[in-house]
Parts: sequence; structure tokens; C-alpha cells
Amino acid sequence: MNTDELIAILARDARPVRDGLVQRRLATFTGAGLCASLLLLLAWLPPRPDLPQALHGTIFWAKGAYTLCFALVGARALERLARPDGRVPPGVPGLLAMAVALMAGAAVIGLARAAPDLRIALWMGDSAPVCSLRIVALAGPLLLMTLAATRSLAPTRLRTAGAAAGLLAGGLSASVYALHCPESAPAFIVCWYSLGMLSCAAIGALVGPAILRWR
Amino acid sequence: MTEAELKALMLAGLAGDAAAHARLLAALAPRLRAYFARRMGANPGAAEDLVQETLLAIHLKRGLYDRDQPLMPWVLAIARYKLVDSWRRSGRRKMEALDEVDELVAEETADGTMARRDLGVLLARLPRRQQALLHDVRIEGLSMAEAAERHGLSVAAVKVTLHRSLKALQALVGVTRSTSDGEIEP
Repeated sequence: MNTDELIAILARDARPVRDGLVQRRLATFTGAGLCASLLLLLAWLPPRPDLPQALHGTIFWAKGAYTLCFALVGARALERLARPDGRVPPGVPGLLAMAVALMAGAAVIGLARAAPDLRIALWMGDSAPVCSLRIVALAGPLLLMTLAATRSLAPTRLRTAGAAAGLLAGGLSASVYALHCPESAPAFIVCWYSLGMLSCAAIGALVGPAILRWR
Repeated sequence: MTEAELKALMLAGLAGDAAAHARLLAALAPRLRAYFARRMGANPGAAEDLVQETLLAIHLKRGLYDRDQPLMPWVLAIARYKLVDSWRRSGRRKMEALDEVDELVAEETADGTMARRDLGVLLARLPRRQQALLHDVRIEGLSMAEAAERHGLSVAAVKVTLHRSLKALQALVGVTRSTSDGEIEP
């Protein structure tokens, strides 16, 4: 087929296109992944017994703000990186760094105020060995969906786009996990929650070049 | 056509104006042709394939164009992606082709070794001169003339001797092959 014929065929197919395709696609897929992740949590781990009281406390929401901040950063970056000319938007890495710095500051204050022999307990909590792994496991369905959505669009920086898809999945997965996990020490959160979420981003970056290719 | 004009055509096309969409693609085609020609060098066919692939992607992915952004960076990002993707694919094809060649060479070598060993056993049963000639021409790969010089024979004599020895070998192996006469010719 010569190029002029191709252009004629494509022009005949020129229906109007609604704006906001990227946002709609990412929202639909991520929403489905979030539901799957919540169902997985319900089937696997009980909600924290003090959930109703925790909802009235600030720590639960501070923790949620922290994990949702990771998800937001991932979503903001992915919304750009899912497009051919997309780059990481300026200010987004800074937002992530600020969230980590705030939580790390709270962790340092908490550890400084605690009695020296209790500091390890604050940092390790009761669930340090499983926390990050569970966040990664809960992110499974989410990561599949964010990657599928990205692949159906047109990323060209595949590793970075994979990392953003992983960060979005990890941030939401950690937020879901917080419904089960009663840990409240900033030292615990800044270490083990961050490790879980960043592992998801690393997985996304690792598989991105292989599975985000589109034709 | 300027960036602003191209972008206006894109926006009109997104709104459903087929004529504007056709004009946009027609205006982008020579730009893409130049882009790929610079990078593909002496392969105009492959460059034109990439032009078409890129036009198709521009059409299929036009919903991903952010209307607040300039158009040409978006177009060239798709072109670059298609270019790198084609390199990646052809690179992989080359690697696969090389793997195949390696395998073929390996098989041939294994076969050759077997054949040489069998031939050694058979050659031992032939008269000495026939053995020497067969070895020089068929195994060492000398030309008829070189073999003739080495053994102080005429080229015709070498041919006849080789012919005889091959017949003798065939008789020994119990195989007759119609092409065997031709095979001794260099």
C-alpha cells in the first residue's frame, strides 16, 4: 500500500475524539485493580480490630496521607508518561521527597523521645518482616491493571512509565494494607511501608521495557 | 506549514473533521520521510514502512494528544519510538539469524568429523596412490592441478585415478550415487 492510500483510509476513519482519554483509561483500570486488591485483603487478612476507633485518630489518616501521596505521585507521573511525549512532571519527585522527609522527621522525633531500649520495638513493630512483602503481594492485581492501562496507551519511556505504574499500585496497595495493619510508629511506616511501595515501583521499572511495548 | 497550522489541523481532526485530518497526515508524511531517511540511511523501503507505521500510530493514538501541548514534539516522540522499535526488532532478527548459522555450522562440523573418520577406514583399503590423491583433493581440498603437480602426474591422470578410487569406494560402501562423478570436479 502506498502512503497516500493509507492516509485516505485513515482520514475516512476520523471520528471525533473525546478529550481526557488518558485519565479515563487510567482511572477505570486502576479502580478495577483497587477493588481486586481490597477483595484480596478481605479474603486474606482481617481488618484491624480497632478500625472504628482508629478512624477517629490522626495517626490512621497521617499514614493514609503518606501512602496516598505515593499513589498520587505515581498517578501524576503516569498520566504524563503514558503519552508518547510524556516526561516526569516537574515538582512530582519533590512532592515524594517532601512526604518522605516529613515522615522521616516524625520518625526521628518519635525515636528521640522513646526510651533507648524501646527504639528497636518502635522501628520493627510487630510485623516488620511481613509488612513490605504483604504490600507487594496486595499490589499484584493493582500493578497488573496499571501496567495494562499504560500499555494500552502509548508510553515511550518504558522504564520510567513502569516505575510510575508501580508507584501508583504500591501507594494504593499500602493504603489498602493500612486497613489491616495497626502499626502506628512513624519509624515503622517510613521504613517498611516505603520499602514495600518502592519495591512495587522497582518491579514496574524492571518489567516496563519488556511489557509496555505497543505497536 | 507551521507548528500552529499543523496543530490547528490536528484539533480540527480530533473534532471529527476528516478533511483536516487527511491534510495533517499528508503534511506530516514528508516530514517523517525526512526524519527516517536521515536515520535509516540507504534503505528507503524500510524508511517508508516506518513513515506508514508512524502515520498509523498518530491516527490510532491521537486521543493521547494533550491539546495544551505543541504537536510536533508529540509526533516526533512517536517517530523516535517507532525507529528504536524497528532497530530493536531487526537487531533481534539478526541475532536469531546468527544463532541459526551457528547451529548449522555446528551440525556440519559434527557430520564432517563422522564422515572423515569413516572415510579414513575406507581409504585404507584403496591402493596407495588412490589414497593419497583422494586425501589431497577431497580432504585437504587441493585443486586437480595442485594434486597433479604434487604427485608428478598429468591432470587427466589425476582425474582418472580419482574417478577410479571413487568407484572403488562406492563399491566398498555399497552405495551408488549418480552425482559422485561430478563431485570430484573442483
